[in-house]
Amino acid sequence: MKTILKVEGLTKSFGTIKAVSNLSFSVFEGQVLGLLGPNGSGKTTTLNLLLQTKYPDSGTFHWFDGQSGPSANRNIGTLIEVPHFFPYLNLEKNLKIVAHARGKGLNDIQRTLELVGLTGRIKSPFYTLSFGMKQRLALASALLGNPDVLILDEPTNGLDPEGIAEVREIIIQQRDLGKTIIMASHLLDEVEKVCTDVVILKNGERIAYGKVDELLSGKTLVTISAENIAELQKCLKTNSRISILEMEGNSIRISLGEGLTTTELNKWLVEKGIIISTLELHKASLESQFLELVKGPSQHG
Amino acid sequence: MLKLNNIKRIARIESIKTWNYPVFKALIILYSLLFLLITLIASNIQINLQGVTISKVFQFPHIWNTLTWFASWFNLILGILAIMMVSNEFQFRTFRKQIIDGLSRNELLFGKAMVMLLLAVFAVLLVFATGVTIGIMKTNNLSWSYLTNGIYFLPILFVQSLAYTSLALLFVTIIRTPGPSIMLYLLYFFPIEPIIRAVIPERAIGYLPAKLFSNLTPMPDFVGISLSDMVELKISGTDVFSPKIHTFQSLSVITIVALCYSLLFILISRHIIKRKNF
Repeated sequence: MKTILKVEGLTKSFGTIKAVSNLSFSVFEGQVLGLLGPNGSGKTTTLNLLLQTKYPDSGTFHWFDGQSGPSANRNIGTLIEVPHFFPYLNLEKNLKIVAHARGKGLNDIQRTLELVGLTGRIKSPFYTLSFGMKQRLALASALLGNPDVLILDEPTNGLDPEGIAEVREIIIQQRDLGKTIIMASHLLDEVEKVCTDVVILKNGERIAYGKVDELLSGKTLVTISAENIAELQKCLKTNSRISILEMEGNSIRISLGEGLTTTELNKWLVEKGIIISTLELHKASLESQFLELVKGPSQHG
Repeated sequence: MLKLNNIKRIARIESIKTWNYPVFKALIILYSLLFLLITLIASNIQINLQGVTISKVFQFPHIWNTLTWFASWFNLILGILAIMMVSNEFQFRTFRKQIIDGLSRNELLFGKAMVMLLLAVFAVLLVFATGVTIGIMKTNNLSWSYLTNGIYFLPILFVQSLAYTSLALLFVTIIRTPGPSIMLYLLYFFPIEPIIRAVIPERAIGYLPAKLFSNLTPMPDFVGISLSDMVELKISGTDVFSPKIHTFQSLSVITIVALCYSLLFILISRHIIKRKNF
């Protein structure tokens, strides 16, 4: 698979606050990567660094096999948290500026405005738009020129339920067209519905990274411990239906693959000669899983 | 590096922003009206002072000195316009938006420099058109040499306008908000620099930006021109930075210094924009 973005050790501080700390991840073609975390976890800062509006203190990133200059952004459609346009210019002229900046033709303006349902306002100055409309114009601006990569920062923030559904529909359409998408969100539900992969951030640090189905699906979560913890861990690794989430002192948190029950797990371990001392079952909701991940101790790697 | 394609791209972006900006139109009209008004009034005043009339300052070749001097009064309007155009980008956060859409910080600044050059060209064209019209009306024996003589004041006006807008650019890249930027910019011309002038050695005064820029277009010698058409002959071997003296030679030296100042202000602004986290 083609690498779209490779991030290595990205770090950025504001004064004494570490906004992003030693962050690494990769995005491949066709992936929808969610940056998930509570407010202030470093999602927007990460996107700012990747879009080069802010400079990192250390670390590197490369777009499209090695590009790191500002021209990389021309092939990325971006929706930033708050829409920024010239208030005195109408929608068409604002989008013309975007098209010129991206080095794209002007013939895509009509299509993108249609896509977000703003064709009727094409001649209205930006300042006359409601917040929801501004957000939709920002989405149109991101989709202008049909870029292969989209960066969306809290795309449904501040929208009414109808608007949220519409915007999600557009994002899913884009995903199904094979676009690569990086999306920041504090809504677990949103990431779960839209993303294939997820980086979970807490205080600027990556606390989890992987496939959404593995990390956030409603799988059975179990904490187990045994006298010989090393051997338990080794054994668990051999079973493809079990994924190890984290080590918690003398116990291991795992998620069970579909169909695998705790009884079967226990039986299988006994067969392997491992006697478990405790087995704790958390059939937690997605929300509480996420909260647990965010609240729990940081885990690198 | 800026390629031709990129220059066109930036020019298109800047033209959308400027032509559709009501304040831009308003200040350009204000600038033109004030200049034309002052020129019309002054060229129609009849002062008779012991048989000496000032009408000669509106004849070739003196008219270029006179009109560029009038135009120089309104350079501050162009400076304020430059401040508005740049502070908008900070206020609307559109500098940030355009970086996101793929413009480099260099290209952002280049776009603003283009607008500043355009303003200087506009000032020159306005003065040229007015000068040709009034000059032909007021000069009795027209000849080509009369037309071209003294026209070097036009490129000097170009540099002067650019110098005013470059200083404005520097103020607004540092301060960012329109109100405080305009206020400090105006306060710099009066009273900040005049106060500095009062405390520094006299021979350094001519090098201060505001003083140097205003020396580019010296006040026409209203009475002297009337007494003798050969004003340049009266001047020889004096300090080129002395405000009262102007010859073509002395003016070319301070024009080059003003150009260097402009470049310096633009380069400092570029440095600030390049390092800035948006």
